[in-house]
Amino acid sequence: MKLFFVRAVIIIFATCWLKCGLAQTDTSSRYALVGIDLSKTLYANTFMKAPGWVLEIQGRTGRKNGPGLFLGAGAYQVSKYLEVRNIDYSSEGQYVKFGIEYSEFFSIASLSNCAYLFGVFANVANTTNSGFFVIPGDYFQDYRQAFRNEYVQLGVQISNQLLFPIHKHFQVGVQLAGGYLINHEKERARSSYYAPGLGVTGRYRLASSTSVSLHYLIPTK
Amino acid sequence: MKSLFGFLCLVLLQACCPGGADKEVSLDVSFSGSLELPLFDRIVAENANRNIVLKTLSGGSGTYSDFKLPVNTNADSTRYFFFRPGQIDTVVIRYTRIFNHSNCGLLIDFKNESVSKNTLSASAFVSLGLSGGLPGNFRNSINFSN
Repeated sequence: MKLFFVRAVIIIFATCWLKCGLAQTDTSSRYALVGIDLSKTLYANTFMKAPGWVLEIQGRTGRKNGPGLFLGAGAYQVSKYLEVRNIDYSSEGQYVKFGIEYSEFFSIASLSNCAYLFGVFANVANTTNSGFFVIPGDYFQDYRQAFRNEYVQLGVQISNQLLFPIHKHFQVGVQLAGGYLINHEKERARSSYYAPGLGVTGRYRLASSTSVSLHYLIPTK
Repeated sequence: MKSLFGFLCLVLLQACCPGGADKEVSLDVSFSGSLELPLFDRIVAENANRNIVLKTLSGGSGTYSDFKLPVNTNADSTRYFFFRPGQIDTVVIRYTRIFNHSNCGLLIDFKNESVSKNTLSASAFVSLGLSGGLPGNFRNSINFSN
């Protein structure tokens, strides 16, 4: 609970700070960005039993300092052993994210085309978990109970993202997001499973996440 | 305010886990009074990967400290062999395993524990309780008797 409130406070304050502290610039042109998430794989591998991967590509377009559209798609394969919850499993699947964003473009010193993006996304994932529930043994072998479940997971995400140009049209994005799992595996150890697209596990329905991404700003008129 | 209260209740409910152990459990063997027991060379549980530790209090035959008999979670019974010079005694504990799936993961619980076979002498009488990951859930005593 404590962690949840800390995350919620961070998200709220970050949103206010970012919104209030930025000056608007060019309001006339449009933008189009394509990007790739760089950190979900790193996050997944911090607690996985074997190397896993999460590939997420993103596309967004809209009016600068105005509304825009976001579309993302991802695939993943991770393996995990959670000792606390006695579950040893692999998870794989695909997901799509879509929603609307509001952008504010601004300049910091010589850096132009910095951007703050605030978005609300829907997340739909088709996921399969398979592996074993485990009662760890000491004198005897572990008791292992095989399982497999497939389900469609729905979630929503509120995203705060800052984009900074690093080289011509390339930008790095830092995202702080809050996600809510609308549904999840209901029957068995739902809190243990990886929540694709949200970059978290389903321990709490409401969870925050951070990510780093690389973007290409497509030149537009 | 009501919605906040409901949300807190929901979180608390999600945090609750049913009873059960999340790891291998053992039978606590405790001796009531001073019992004259033979000095066992070793105790072996069938299919276990090592011998059961058994310590004598006085170093000679007769008085043991309490010890634990591990329970095999892969079967509905566990067979123990008590080795002593010239004799091997056998004790078989039967039980019903109950697996609970919860938000906390897989938990195991037991019921109907009984001793189905015992070749220890009647004087080697101990009471057993199930513990290990089952705090506050001490089971009915099981007596070794033929």
